[in-house]
Amino acid sequence: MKCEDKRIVEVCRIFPDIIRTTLIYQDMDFNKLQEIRLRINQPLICIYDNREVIIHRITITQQIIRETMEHVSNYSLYAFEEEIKQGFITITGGHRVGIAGKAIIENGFVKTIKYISFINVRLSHQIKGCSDKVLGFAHKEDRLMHTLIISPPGCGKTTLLRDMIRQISNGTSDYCGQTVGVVDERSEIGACYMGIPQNDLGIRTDVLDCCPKDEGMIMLIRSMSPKVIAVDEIGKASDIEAIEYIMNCGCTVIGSVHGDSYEDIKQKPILNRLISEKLFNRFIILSKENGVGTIKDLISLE
Amino acid sequence: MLKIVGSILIISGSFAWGYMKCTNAKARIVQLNIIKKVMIMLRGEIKYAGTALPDALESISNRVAMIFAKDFFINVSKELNEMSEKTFKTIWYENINKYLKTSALENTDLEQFKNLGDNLGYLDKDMHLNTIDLYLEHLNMDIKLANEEIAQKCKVYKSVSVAVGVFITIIII
Repeated sequence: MKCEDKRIVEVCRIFPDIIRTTLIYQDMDFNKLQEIRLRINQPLICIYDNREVIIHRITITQQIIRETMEHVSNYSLYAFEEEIKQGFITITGGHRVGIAGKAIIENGFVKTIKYISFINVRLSHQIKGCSDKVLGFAHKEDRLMHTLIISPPGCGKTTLLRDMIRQISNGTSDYCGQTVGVVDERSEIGACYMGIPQNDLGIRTDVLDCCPKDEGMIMLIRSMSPKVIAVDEIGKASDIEAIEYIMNCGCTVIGSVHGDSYEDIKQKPILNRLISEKLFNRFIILSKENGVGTIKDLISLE
Repeated sequence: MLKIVGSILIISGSFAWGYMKCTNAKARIVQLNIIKKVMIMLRGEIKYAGTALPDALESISNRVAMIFAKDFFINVSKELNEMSEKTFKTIWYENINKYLKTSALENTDLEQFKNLGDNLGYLDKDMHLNTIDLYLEHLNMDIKLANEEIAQKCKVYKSVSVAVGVFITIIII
């Protein structure tokens, strides 16, 4: 990898010198690098171009894990307590650092993770233009319809949603730009670092980061008056109630859910309300059939 | 004539030394109070905003008027942001030795300040707050003691320095 690439520097700087040097001089294309995995007493592993690359000459030690965590947290683990409870920290560039170790439980909830021994750095790759094929489908004439992306994990639903947000916000040659409010409960859409989205979400987008979806959607309606609200991974009954509320306020919703197909969502006890009550009019179903992000089906209820 | 001039120079030189010691003792109190102020602000940054240490130290150094330690805090913050191989403790120690050695703080003050760095950077929020509270407690005691002693110390420095000057003059003459 060429070390002058800003994105590589952003990722490499969290590692101790031994890993930094190795990564920079590996003959890798950053765009194909997906994950860097550190497991204590095990070799360094990278997921590159959907393949596993094991770098045997580096064995991960306690010292490497400690230094990496110091850099990830900017020497201030306390500043990331909420993120640690969720098991990941987002760093500059929108890359996600997943952690595992010993969970400390208090009153039945995870209070923190100590003895961190496993780190997984998932690199963020924004694919601009990946929603070109579905943007027209999500509109009826000039009007954006309530759109739901249905996809199994790892099929690119967040990437698609992110690009839809960007294009709806910026506007295209066919559609005018609209104010978009994003409730980014798990920091996956905007990948905010210290409140600043690291991914391009467009010029008319407001992001409420790390906020529960149900509460966040209502907050955004009151505070930012968006025309469109975007949420990822709808799942709870309270999310659906909030969606109903904001739809009644005249707001368009674009969202995503975990599922294999339209029928699969119909059978789920909570999510079937999204279909039975006709909350959404457009459904985009993704799969991995011909690679990540394959559009398996497009269903319109109007 | 030469003896008189020499005597005056010796006595005024030793008095200047005493005066300087007295000024240093006063400056130490001022500097301890500034560090106290910084620690209270750092506590607030950690408790209410959960700000990371490099950002907190930089922002505090810009808000508090302190010539003697500004470079220290700015450099600690800068080095932390560089994400070198050094631990927080090493960066803290190195910068104390580099920037605070010339301050009016005594060695015991610097040692206490170094010890604070032993426990920052890796603990959870409560432990950080407790560590800073403990340091503030020590600091308050030191400031109180220094304030109680300052008048007496200054009197001693000045009178002893003059007496030493006179004594040396008498011996030389």
